[in-house]
Amino acid sequence: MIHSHHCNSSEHELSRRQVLGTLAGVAVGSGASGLLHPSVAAQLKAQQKRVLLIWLDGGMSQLESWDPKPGTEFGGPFRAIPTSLPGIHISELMPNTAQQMHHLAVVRSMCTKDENHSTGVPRILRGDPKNRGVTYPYLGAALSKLKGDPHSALPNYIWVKPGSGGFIWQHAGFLGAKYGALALGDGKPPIHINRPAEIDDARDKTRNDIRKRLNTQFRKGRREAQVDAYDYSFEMAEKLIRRKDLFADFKATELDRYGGHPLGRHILQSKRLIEAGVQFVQCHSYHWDTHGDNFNMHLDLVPQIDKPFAALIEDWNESGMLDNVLVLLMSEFGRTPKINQRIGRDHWPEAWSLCMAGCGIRKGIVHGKTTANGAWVDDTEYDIGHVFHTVFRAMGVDPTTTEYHNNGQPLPIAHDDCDAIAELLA
Amino acid sequence: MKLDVTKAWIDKKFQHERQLSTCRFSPCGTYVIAAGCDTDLQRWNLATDERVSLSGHPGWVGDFAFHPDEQRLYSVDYHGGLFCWDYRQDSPQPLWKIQDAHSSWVRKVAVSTDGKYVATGGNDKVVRLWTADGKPAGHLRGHNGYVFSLLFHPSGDILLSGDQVGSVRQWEIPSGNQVRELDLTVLHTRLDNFLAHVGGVRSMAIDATGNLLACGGMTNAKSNSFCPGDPLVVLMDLASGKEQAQLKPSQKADGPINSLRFLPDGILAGVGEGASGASLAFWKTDEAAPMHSVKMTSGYQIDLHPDGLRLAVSRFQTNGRGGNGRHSTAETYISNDGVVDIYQLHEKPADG
Amino acid sequence: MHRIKFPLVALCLLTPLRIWAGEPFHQQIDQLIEARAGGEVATAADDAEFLRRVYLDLNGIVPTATAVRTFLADKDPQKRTRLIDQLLAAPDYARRMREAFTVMLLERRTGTAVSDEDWNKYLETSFSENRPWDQFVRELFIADAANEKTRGTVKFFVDGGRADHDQMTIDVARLFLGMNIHCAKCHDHPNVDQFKQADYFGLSAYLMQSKSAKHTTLQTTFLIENVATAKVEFESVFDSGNKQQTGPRLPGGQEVEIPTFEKGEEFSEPAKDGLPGVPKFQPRQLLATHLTDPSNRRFVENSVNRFWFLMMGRGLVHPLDMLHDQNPPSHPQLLKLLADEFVAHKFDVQWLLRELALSKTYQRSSILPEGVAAVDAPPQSYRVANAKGLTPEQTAWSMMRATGVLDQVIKTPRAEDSKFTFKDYINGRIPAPDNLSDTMLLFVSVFGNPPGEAEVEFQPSMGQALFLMNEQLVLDWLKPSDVTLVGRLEKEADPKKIADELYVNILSRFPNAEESADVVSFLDENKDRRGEALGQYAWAMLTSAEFKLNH
Repeated sequence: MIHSHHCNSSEHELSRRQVLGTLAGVAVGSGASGLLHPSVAAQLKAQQKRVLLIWLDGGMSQLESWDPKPGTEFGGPFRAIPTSLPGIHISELMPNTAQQMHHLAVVRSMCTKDENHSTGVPRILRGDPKNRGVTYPYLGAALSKLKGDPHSALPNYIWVKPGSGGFIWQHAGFLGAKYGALALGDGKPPIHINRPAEIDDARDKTRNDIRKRLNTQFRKGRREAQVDAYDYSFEMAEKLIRRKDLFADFKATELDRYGGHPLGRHILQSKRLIEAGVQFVQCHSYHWDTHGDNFNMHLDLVPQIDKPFAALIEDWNESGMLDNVLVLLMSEFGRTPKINQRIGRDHWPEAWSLCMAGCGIRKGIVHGKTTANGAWVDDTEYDIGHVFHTVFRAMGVDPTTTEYHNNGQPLPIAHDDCDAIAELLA
Repeated sequence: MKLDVTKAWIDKKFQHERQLSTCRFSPCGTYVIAAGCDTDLQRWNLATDERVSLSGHPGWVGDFAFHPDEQRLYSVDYHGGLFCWDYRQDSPQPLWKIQDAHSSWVRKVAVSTDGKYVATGGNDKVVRLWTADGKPAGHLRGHNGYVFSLLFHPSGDILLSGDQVGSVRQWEIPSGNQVRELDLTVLHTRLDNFLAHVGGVRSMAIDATGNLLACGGMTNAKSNSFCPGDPLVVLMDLASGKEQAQLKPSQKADGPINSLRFLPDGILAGVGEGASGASLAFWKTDEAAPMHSVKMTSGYQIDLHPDGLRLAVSRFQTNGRGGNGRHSTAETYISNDGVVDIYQLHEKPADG
Repeated sequence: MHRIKFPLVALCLLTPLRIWAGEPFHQQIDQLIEARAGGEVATAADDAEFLRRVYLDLNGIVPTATAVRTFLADKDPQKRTRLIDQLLAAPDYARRMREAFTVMLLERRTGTAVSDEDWNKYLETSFSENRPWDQFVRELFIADAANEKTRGTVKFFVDGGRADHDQMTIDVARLFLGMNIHCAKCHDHPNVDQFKQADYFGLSAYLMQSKSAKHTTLQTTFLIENVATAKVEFESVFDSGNKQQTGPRLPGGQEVEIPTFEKGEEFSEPAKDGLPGVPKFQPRQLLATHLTDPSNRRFVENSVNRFWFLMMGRGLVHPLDMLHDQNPPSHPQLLKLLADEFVAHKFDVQWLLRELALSKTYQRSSILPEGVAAVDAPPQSYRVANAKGLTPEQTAWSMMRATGVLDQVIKTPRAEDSKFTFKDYINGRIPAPDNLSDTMLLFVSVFGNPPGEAEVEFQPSMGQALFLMNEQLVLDWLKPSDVTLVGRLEKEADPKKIADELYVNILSRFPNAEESADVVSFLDENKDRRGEALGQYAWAMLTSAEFKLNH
């Protein structure tokens, strides 16, 4: 395996040393504009690429969304409707998304390994790599390591979620605390984002400089992870204080378009954060785990993603943002074709769907198919490793040549037996 | 034969390859008809067990009801349709159908005791009145949630409709004026972190006096994913509009009471859902706990035979291993079944 | 992945270490730890590091400046042992244990059926009297509300968010048996062979009859038991239709036969005062005895593991509620020894804490040995002291002591009509807290986990950082006043003395030359705004990782 240059350094970014040092030899003889090796220029440009992962926790039913099978054994009561993509139908619960179908890429042949939430969620979000005795980072942490801007005025990895917030360093796995997620409870910044008038910028800098000096002293000879995590929580606090404007109230027209419900507001908040330069936003909605009353629940739940998701795709397509942002809409699995005794559907990793759109992804494609009854993949099965490969490719990272280095141990960034789903890549 | 629910026994069992959410005896007493998670109604002859399907609906059949003329059956579907059949025919075909009776799911249908009106209710939150011939006869607007239950009062000029958010509306028929709203919000839960309403007024039944309304559902739901709650029947005094009592099944279950029916002796029968089973319960209306109950799988509907001695119960029947993930091959992975049990509500004769 | 197999570990298992019965117990601990350390261990913590650590662990607060000076000046070679004994005897010991075990047992869930006062009193009395741990747990299960002394115990089940039997079962299994059997409610645990659905329901059967009821005249909440008539029935969601039954049974134990009585003969005491009759067969009362029996190894091992975690920052079994064969303890022999000795010492909590505190393992420095990388000294190796994040309570107590405001806050009575809530405060509807209980509530709200989430890992959050940066109350503690440290130091002329005072008061140690010089030069640069500059320096120390970690 070829070691990628920019992942060898512990500081992951296109470091100054890399641009000015390692590349000097390569660039000899180039003109002024060719100072950088072409591939590195592409990487620099690619650094602007961002990801919005919309996560419907618990598992949205594929049969009530991307892969309807009306009138069949397991098809459920909902109809399929035509979309802006000729010949392609999706569930009637997604009328708005149906109109954006020509911008989307849907995979209907996901087949993953884990049928439990507690283990399934982290497994999927870590890309389920081969076991190498280390804890892999979540996708957001991975991309903030591989693609994040260390000098960004905002954290590279933000997690917009219902409930409480905090710094979730566990998402970073072996990459180290600072690649963890900044969780914003209900998408809102903590109240203490407001600095008392008596502390101006200069005073704030003075006191924080001392704090950092003390931590540098203390860190010597100790396990760094805890000190780093604590330090980083302050670093993020400082960054956020400077961007309070990002959390202003939404306009009535925005809420009208995206929906005033939590998922609508959280997608709006995620949109703002991405537009402000955050490299990776994970936008979470809980309670899609409809073991009971599946159809009544999907009747009310699916529209809550349909409306804001379609609005987002339409808006970002118009503004051109979609060229630079990859949007990923998924869960940890789908739901059982079988309807249980609480008229619910249980967990089904065997055959489910997910959707991608934007940066690096082909527009208007439905890839893979399931059997007539929707229960099984009737084509090539894709595991989450394939999706990670595809996302990395779309983000301009070559997962076959790029690896992590963990205390000298080279580690692939995605499952080494998988590769990208070529049909999805633009 | 003396009605005695404590001696109830299962006389017959009819089975269908999809779950059956509704079941009713025909008023002539000859058939039990059931429908549910597919587009057909199933008609079984109680004497011969002969089965005939009533096909024609494009979507799942949410509910059906009989006209007192002992000929007509009205059925509604999740594509918005209202169909009328002569259910007695050898191979019944719709007499007429209205494909767009509602703009979305029609969940419930009821026929007035005098046979003049048919009421339908569904996801458009509207209750529609029709003449027995299918002519529009009014819109009853006011519900803030899906219409989950419909019941004509035996007096004939009152219609009750229950909804997703725990409201029961009382309407005057045929004017369609809302007379009052009964508070059944105990049957609805929406906690801060819920994405959807959970519960609702799933079932209603009225006693012989015409004054006691039983409303079934569940209370205190804990999530909108498993949708678990405490099954509950609320008895409402119609004269005062106040809650009179709350009844609970003795068998532990986590789903709503889906169907209720008063028996001739004043006992209230009901069935509900549970992730690991539920029960058919019989309550005296002055005691919270059932005087008798029979453990079973999730029950969806019950109906009393015109003879007053038989009860039809539609319920869940597992078909191979369920639950999360793959436990079977593509060949053996098939839908769960629906069953209609016919109970005899009296002591089993010694000769069997 | 469930476990990583180290060949080294396997090797150690084959050659159990011989322990000499005659040696002090804490030395036996050290031998077992060092035998599998896999390399050089850290040097002993210096006096200041030890002093701060043991104060935080046993008294829940940093030492006073006087205590630091006295201890560091003390030449007695036995001073550490003396200090441990002194801290175990201090009133702050009972308070610290009350705080630690409230967080562990109630997990920040609150309720009002049983007052905090009753609960606190029960816990503090238990720890100050050094009630044996098995007895303490037994009393929690017996939950006798009629006895004024144990009335507080009722809170565990009634207010701990455990009104339903599932939560009761799950929490009892997690907290007292080290079994996270949440999954096993619906089916055998998918990844843990030992966590069976039958275990879940066997435990549940002990608790099925318990529910709260209010005594009409006393207006006190009781945890009563109904008459048990039948076994609990269950089936796996993966095997629908295959019904099974169980009576009360502990995991790995014998099922208890449910006796049947003639109608009317079920009760030993009749119903009265709004409470139902007391049944002759009370499974929860039996659970109190069965669960805490020394022969119930799960209970004993889980108990010592949790005390070990409290002192060492990581359980021998970790996560704490994953005590099963696929997640073996880091030191199996040690876990066994601790369990055996805890039983032999009749569940003597102070004995156990004292031995742990006396061990070299506990008294190690948190600085890695020269040339050893952090990755080679993982937390479960105990080669280096594991730093622990300060709990919300430790943070509040220590910040108040360090800034000098503690005595004043303690002295300020809580207004009887105080309706302090965190939500009202952060929304600017009410003024800052001035008394102890409201201040604690504020810190717990900021630094504590949400209700129901155990506080095990160090999880700093940006919200906490923002609080420390911008919370006016904290900033006020760092302004010159009659009571504050900054106020006292503002009057001090000698900048080197100021440096000493800042370090001794806030970080419980003296500064080294470089650190002292940094303070001196900073004060020199900010002569014209001395009070403010002192406040800034003190703020930086208070918000440093060195303060936040119990290292």
